[in-house]
Amino acid sequence: MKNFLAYFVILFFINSVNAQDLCRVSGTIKDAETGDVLIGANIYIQSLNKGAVTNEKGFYSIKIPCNKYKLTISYLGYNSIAFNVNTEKSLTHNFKLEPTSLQVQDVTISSEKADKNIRSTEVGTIQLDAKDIGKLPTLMGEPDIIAGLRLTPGIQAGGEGNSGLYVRGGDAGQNLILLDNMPLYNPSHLLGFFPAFNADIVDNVKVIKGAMPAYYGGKTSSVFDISMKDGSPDSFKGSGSLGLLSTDLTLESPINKGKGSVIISGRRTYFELIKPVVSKTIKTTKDFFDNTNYYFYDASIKAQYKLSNKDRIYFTAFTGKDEYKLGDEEYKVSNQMSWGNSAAAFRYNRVFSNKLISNITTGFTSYGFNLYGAFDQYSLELNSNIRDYYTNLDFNYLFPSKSTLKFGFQYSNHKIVPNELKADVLDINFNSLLQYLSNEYALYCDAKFNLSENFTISSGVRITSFQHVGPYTKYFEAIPGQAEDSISFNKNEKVATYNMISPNFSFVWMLNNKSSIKGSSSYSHQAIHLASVGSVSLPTDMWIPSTDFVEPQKVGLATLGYFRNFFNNNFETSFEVYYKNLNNQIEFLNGVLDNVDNKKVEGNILQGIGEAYGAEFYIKKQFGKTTGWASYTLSRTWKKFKELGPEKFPAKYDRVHDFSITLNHKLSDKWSISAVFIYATGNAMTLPIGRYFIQGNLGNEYTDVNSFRMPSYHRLDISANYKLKTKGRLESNLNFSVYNVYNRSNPYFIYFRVKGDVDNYYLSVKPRQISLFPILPSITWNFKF
Amino acid sequence: MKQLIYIFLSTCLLYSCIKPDYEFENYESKIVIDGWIENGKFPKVLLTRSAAYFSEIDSASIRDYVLTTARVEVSDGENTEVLTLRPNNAYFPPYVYVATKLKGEAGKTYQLKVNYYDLEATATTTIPEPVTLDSSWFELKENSDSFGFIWLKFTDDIATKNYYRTLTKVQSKDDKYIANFFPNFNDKFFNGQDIEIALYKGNKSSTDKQDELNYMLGDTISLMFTVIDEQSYEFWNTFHKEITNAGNPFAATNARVKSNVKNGLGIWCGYGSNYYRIIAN
Repeated sequence: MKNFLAYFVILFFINSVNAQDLCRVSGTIKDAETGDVLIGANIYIQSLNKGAVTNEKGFYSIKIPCNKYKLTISYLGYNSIAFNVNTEKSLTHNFKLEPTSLQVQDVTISSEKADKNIRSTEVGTIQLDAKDIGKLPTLMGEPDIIAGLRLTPGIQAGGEGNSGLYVRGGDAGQNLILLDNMPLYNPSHLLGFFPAFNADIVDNVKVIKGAMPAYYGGKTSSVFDISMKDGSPDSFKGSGSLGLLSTDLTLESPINKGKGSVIISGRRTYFELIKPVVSKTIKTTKDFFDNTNYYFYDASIKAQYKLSNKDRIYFTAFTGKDEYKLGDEEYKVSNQMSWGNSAAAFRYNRVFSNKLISNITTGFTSYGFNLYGAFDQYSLELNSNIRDYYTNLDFNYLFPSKSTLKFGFQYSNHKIVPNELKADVLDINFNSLLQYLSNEYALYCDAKFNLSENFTISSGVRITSFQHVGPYTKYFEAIPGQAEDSISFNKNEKVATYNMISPNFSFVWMLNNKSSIKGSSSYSHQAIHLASVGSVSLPTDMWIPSTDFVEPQKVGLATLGYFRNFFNNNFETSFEVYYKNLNNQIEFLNGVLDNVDNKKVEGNILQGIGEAYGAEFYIKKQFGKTTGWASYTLSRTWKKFKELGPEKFPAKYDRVHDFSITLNHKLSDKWSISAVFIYATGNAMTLPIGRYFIQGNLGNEYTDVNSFRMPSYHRLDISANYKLKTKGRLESNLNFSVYNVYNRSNPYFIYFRVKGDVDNYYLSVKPRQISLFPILPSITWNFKF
Repeated sequence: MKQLIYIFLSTCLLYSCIKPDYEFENYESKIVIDGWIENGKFPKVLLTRSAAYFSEIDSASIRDYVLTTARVEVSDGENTEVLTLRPNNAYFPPYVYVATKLKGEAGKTYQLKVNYYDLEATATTTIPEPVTLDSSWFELKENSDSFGFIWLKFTDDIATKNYYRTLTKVQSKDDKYIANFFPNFNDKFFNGQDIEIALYKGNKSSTDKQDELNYMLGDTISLMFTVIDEQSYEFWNTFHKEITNAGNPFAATNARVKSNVKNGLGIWCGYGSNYYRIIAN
């Protein structure tokens, strides 16, 4: 294996020194309607990952190796165009771009400048567009955007079987996940193994791990802003893949001669179909496969229609569901678990002028899970769900100086059922149903000023009012001498109100055209919390709103970074440090089953403080046959809860070291290979160290909170792509991948098996580690027409 | 309840088990106290040592964990008595330190001091005033002609914060009082009210899964209805959660047993108790 890695490392450096004859392509870019020259328009060649920008006369010029290319010409507020060019000699090409009704959120330009990382004024932001996503190593044939982001510094995975992402010491529940601006509460498929989103529908992913603009609110750690592709405006198209475990299909079509377009996509696993085959070939798995079933599906649609040059409407929807079943007749065990997201939004976009654009969006999002388990005469059913209705009004104003102002209003109505529990334990029935309603109003404003050519600042503020409203019954702990113990609130009556002001500030200082310094700070609030009920992250973690017992989380953040490019922007490097101050953090005191002592689930919530700090190192090679990046994060995350002791303790996902390297190499026109290696410090956990008897019952004595480390997580994945011959419109390729090449058993969780009983004077306790994913080879056929 | 753990455990799809090497060397064994004192009765104390988590216990090694040579002293502030060791097969371990002079009295505070070689563990508890039941009875559960639970009716004192614990002994079936299935409760949500509570029978031990959780028609049940102090309640309540949730990776493990023993583990509990006999008919 070492040799294999060495091979990659050598290729990495050798391939950047190939030289060829160069040709020049130049010309001007103008507005098709007014004929004005466009300053700062982008010309981009995807296959070379190279581009240029027009100067103040709208003129561009780019030197490239002489060959056939596809040029993409784009400019903020205009429709992008693609153009095929054969540069056998130097050429002049002039372009005209049609203005588009701009979506406020699409400030990101899908074709980037090579030195974007140092120039970008969005501090602490990582962006992957379709081309980057296509380059990610594919597992089970599908590129996984979320897994790709995990390979960048500061973003960490929770470990084996954990779909959550932990950004700069934040928890999984502190990330704002937006799919085409629809918030999603828990988009994941089976233990994070399958990609949460179908890459075929994703146009662009932006992650903000620094200070968040005020437009984004309600979460304290990060934003994952995922934009869906628009459907093709000119012809019917399709793409998809056929794998061993799942298949997906995406279709796009113009509507009314290009006035609108629609893209529709679906995915489904078919474990059911391969089950009989596997169980026959591998005998030992027969019992397991006979009683187990798993599937997921997800589907999405995005439609847009141009009503006039200034008015456009959009409709987006997403739904996904996982269902998992396990049974064992011999042990009388049966289990069922299902979870899923649904969301839909309607948006009206209006361009008032070249300077002022507005959007009005209304929609809903929901997430729910259901767990059913039965063992002999015990049974348990647990439901949890969250549903939001929301309306947003946004305005975007562009100053002639290229400074921008963005402001608006957002309203959400949340309905949360944290845990509806029905349990039957030896005929003892537990039943509980609690429902929380709340309203969240927010006003926000973000401004970006170019103070000089080399200095840009952004600042904003978000003012939020979060109201917990009835119907609700508030219980008091009895005070001696006082019999009254509860107050009932009527519908829409305010139970608790929290008013919050969340400011942010960031700056970018270009030292020269190769390096920059960026910094940011913010103070953010989060009123809806994700409470983890166990030592592993499951879809069963429940969302809980702020109530009069549970206060909103508050997080202060400061970051500073140095960005430097080398060798004509071929190598990007960065070094960033961050510090976070965490307040009103959430922990669950007891298990889900413990509602004997508390009438409300929030009675089991603990709130405490914490801090997180770290240093992030990043290097990326952008061009050539071999590309890739490496990232290393050194960080600590501490928490302190007075109920758990006077000392601070490491958070469960405190990752001291987190390292990853991603390499892509193009062997020939047909073959390309890639590899990913990940190493991360193991999760912190509390372990029993001693045990004792009280009245015949066995109790445990524990280590200090989270003072034990699970074994570290490491894994190597490799994949190869083979491009098949194009037949007519059909382009296709075969993907071969191997997950966990050296079959590392990474710990999912550790538990203890107790055998024997006291009355027979025999007792043995053995630790067991559960690992989920062994070495997994796969083959997938991907197609496009 | 413990069985629910296995339901959760089996929710893994493609799991493979391996045994990792987690050993905690240099585990320092602690004195474990399981002692109580009741109004009108002599105190009883069972002493053991805690064992390293992964050590195997069998009939030979189990004796190493029983403390039979400790000095155990109980004091009410005025009188002090050193307890003597007596065998008693009803308990585990089958040796009990008992007093012969000092009896518990409601309203008084009692100190316990245990010395074993150079280790000294101490604890303090109070016997609260006992509460009298208005009535107690047996009721068949729905759709059953022979199984049921017992009901208690009493009035909570509005002026004080009260913590309750119940234990029962079925005649000719049990050889000691066993805590009920949910034995600990307080007046957090019923201060000063008339309250009726149903009790399920408890497990003899957490490793014993054969026990029926209902009382049977024809049983003669002795009920020990006790009032305990806050520290004792905290112990029993957290200990109960511990034995229910321990080892379950899907249940939060942030709760810790809150012991009232200094320099040791376990409980020194004062019971303000009243006894009732309920015939299940």
